[in-house]
Amino acid sequence: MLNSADFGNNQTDFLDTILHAGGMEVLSILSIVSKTATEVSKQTGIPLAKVNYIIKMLEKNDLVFVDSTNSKEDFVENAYKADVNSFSIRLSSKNSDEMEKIKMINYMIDEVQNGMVNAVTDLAPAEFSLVKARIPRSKVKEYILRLRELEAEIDSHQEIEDAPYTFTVALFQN
Amino acid sequence: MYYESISKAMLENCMKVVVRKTKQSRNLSIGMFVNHGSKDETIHNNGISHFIEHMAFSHENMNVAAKQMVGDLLDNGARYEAYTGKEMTRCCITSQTSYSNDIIKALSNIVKFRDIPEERIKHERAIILQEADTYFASSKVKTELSERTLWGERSLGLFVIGNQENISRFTKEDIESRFEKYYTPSNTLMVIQGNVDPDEIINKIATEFDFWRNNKVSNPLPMLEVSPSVTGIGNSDRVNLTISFVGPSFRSRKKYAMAILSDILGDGLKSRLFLELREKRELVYSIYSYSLSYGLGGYLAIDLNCQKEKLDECFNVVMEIVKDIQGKGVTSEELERARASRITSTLQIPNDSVRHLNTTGRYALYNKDFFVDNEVFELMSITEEEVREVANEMCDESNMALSAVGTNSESLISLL
Repeated sequence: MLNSADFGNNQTDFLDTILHAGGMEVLSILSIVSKTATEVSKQTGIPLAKVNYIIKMLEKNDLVFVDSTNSKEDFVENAYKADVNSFSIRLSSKNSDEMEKIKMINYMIDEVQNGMVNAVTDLAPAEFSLVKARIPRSKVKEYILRLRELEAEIDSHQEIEDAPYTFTVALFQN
Repeated sequence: MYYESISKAMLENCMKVVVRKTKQSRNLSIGMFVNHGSKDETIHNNGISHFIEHMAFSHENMNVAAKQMVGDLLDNGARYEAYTGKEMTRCCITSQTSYSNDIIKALSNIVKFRDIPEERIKHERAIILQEADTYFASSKVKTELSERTLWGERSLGLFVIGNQENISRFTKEDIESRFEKYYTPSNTLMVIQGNVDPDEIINKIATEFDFWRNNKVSNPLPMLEVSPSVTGIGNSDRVNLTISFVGPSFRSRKKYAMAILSDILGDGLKSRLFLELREKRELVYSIYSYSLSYGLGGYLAIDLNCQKEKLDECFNVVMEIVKDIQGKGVTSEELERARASRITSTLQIPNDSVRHLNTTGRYALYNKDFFVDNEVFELMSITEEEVREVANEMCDESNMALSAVGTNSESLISLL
């Protein structure tokens, strides 16, 4: 039996939302400037219903927030914004959905990797972001191994004449 | 010669009274319409108007005098109904005309709503929670689900019944203070329909409701957020899909063209959707469309039930049919058939006293008068070009929401 809580799209995997076509595009636009769903839809050509759905899912997962609310007569419209703080991912032993968060971290590491590869090979402008992740002690080893793989892959793309680059990962015990 | 007449009055306490004298009626119907419903709520108190209706207008919960009076009327064959909608709350008593004084006295006692016993709230809460469970498990949820998907978690997008969390939380103070604030004479409209003398009955109402005073508080300003999205719930082999397009409000004359468009698309055995998806392609058993206009906004919805694996095909065929109307318009035969059907339905309204009363009340809440011939005139004046225009204005992706029971939102997103 359904109840009213089922009507908020809570059951959908939010990672799917931002990873399917258009999701990252919406998030990227909102990370730069505050926009309404209608504006995002017009800019991207993504249907408004899809943009609204993506924004709602991102909002439910604290990845975007209502930046301003404009009202005219009986109508109201929200403008949304995402910023770097929105990408902070919290993992804790209490969290029952760790696999989803781990997938998210892995995805972001891949994104950083793509950005760096683009930067050093001049294939496309690079976009970097700061990723803050609270990682359970038991997972630290796994992530360090992945980061080493990432470092090796970046090195493999380097040409002799490439400018030097810096890749820093810091782990702070907390 | 056939004609309709409406008499209107504004009482000293700002309560509006509308009397529709129907000479042939041997029954009398009186409805009390309060301009307060779920549109006036927020996500945090969603459901309180419906809860108040149960507490104030349910026979078992009325004060002693009101309960006695309504009980006596019921013993004498009266029909009593209470209802909460998005835009209003109403209670309506229909009885033989000779009971007019008793009906007015009963209604004037019902609004003397104060100091409700805690045990009654507890009892009613259990019943409302049962009602919510029943509602959310039924197909009735489809309409409100599509409205939630069009308008989000604000005003018209809110469910009338609210949510289980809010229903479990409302207190005696919440209920009584909200009633005192908004269920006031200036927010109330009394509609009387029957073979009565208008002046005489308005005088009686003025006398019986003279005690009722206003708080100097207006309804919260309902704000509509037009944010068409997608919502899919449940998981089943069969999917009930609703495709909705934002449309004109009740106040716009375009609502007539929208209604005709809706009927051409999906009303009856000769409608385009029925012929194409059911009769020609055997994709569905049930497919229809409808249009709804509230004071703040309206919409046209196409509702179909199909196998999950046929969802994509059904959606595409529906959109092709809509695009065909946008491009080529409708035929004169289609327009005449839809128009005639609407007119028949409109002409039936006076034959159903409760429907007639409710329609009169609904129009009066928007400061409009409902006359059958005025409606027929508006329908007669709709042209093929107006139907095509409204299809082009409404039925595009920037106005479209998708909701479904039987599949999740992700599968709906993939249709776009």
